[in-house]
Amino acid sequence: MERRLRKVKTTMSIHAHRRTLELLDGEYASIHHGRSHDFDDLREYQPGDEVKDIDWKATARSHVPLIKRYIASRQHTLLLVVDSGRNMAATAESGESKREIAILVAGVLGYLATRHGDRVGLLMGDASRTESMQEGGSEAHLERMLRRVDDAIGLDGPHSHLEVVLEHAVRRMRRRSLIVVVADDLAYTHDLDVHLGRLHARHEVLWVSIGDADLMARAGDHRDLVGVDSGVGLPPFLRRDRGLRRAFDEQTALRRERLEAGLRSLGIASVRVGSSASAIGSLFRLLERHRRARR
Amino acid sequence: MDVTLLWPWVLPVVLVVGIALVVVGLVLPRRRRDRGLPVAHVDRMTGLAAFRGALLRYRLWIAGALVATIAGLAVAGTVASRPSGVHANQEDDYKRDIVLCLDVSGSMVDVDAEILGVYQQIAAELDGERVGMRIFDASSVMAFPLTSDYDYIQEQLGRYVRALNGTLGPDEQFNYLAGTASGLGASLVGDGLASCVLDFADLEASDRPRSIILATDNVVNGQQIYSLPQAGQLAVDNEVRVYAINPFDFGGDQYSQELRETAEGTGGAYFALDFAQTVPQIVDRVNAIEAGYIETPPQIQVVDRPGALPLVVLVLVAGVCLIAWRVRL
Repeated sequence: MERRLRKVKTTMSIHAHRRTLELLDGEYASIHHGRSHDFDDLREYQPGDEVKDIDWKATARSHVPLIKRYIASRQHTLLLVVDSGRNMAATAESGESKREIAILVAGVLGYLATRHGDRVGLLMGDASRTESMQEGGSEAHLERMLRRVDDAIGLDGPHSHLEVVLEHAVRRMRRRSLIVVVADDLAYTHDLDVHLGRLHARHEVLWVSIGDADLMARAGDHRDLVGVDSGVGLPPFLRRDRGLRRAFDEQTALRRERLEAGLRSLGIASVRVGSSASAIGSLFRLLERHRRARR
Repeated sequence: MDVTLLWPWVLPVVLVVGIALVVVGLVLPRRRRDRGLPVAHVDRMTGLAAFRGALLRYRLWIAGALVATIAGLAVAGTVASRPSGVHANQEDDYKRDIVLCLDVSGSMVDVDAEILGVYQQIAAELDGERVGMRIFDASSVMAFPLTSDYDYIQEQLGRYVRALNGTLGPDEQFNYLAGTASGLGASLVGDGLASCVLDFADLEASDRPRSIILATDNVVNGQQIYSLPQAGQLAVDNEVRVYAINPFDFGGDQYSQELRETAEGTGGAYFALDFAQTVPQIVDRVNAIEAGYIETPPQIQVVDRPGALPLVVLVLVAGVCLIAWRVRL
């Protein structure tokens, strides 16, 4: 029954084979601070690991650099904040459903956390509902979580409203945790800035944008598009308009840049995932960015 | 030209059906359009200032297509309701035949030239009439037979006019009198008229009004086979009217009197060429008299007259197709 999680794992191994998985593992491990000094074991160095964790003596005896692993001082909590509105049911940049990519992203991060012994919680919501799942540390729990996300997101679902969800997260999440927001190509608004700022003051926040589909028709693309918010179609004629395309490209770049700049100014690492094929690489970059931004 | 609609009820039917189709065509794609690929954050496009302009252009195109479609429907409906007019067709059979019958004895040359000049002008405006020409003195010669080839007629008339006036060019010299002196005597008017009457080739077959313009002074000098009254009777038998032009009517002389009686006996007229009447006036009067014989009513036909409307429909349909392609409706 672990359909969704298996899919996540398969994707991870297909796209990255084992080495990258370990890379990701290393990145994930090192984004936490506050480790204990209780030595656990040694393992091979992976890029992304703290240099100061290298056990130089053991490395000298061995042929490969070795890392000291400590028992984590406490279990960390990874909270996945997912937009469950109908925006997420729309088409992603790659033509897949944004829901698929969101589940993949949540699954990869959740799986890494689970493997690391951390607990994973879920908060998802939209304009008319907020659902949360208690933290849990098992893969079955993660699978249940992904399934709920999958079930919640639909084209006929409520409209997306991420600010409300973030506000909810600010109020509810007392314990310090790592929060990954899975959103899309939002416009960076004042509300967003305020809530993220408050959230970031207490927690470590990472941002994943699921890239939205291009609205302009390029390279003989004549599909009909329908806005999920309004249910109104975009006539192909408009999608081919050259002047509109120029303005759209400008505006899209500006919008993306604004979101990135806003997040950067708050100290939140962000990444944009356009397709499930590029998801693993993007997440790797995200974790790396987060590690660097912190210091 | 009056244009009326033969089937006026077709126009509203076409319009109603067409507009119903247009409405269906507008509603169906809309339903289809709202079933496309779902995308989020449409405001990325609709929020742009350029979007309003593009949308306006799009709506203008569609409005243009609508207008062209409805205009095309209206015009197509008009064509389908058969705009028609009345066509009056004057059968060629009722156009007259004229034989110019000219006495070319020395005294007549000037008058002949004048008559030919007038007919040369008239020939330019003829339509359906046939003109022939015969000249005679002691014997008669056909200058050209009855024909409706007006270029040829004019050419021949011009040639004879120049010959009569003595102004023939150096390369067209011919003796117009050739063949007219092989009989005994001169100015054998009776024989000349009789041969002119027999020039109407299809005497029995044709219903066309026939007339002869006879220019002569009727001073006969010699032995005739047909006397003038006999030739007149021949004309009457064949329903030929003789219009006689006499340049030398001195009032009451015997020759003129005989000519008048003969001409009027055939239903034609007699004109003395004097100070009161010029040749063009006489020809006008002859034509006026002859016009009375052409009383056969023109054949009335009701004919479809779509004019340029089918072309307009074609252009409008092409325009609609072009817009549909441009806008990808």
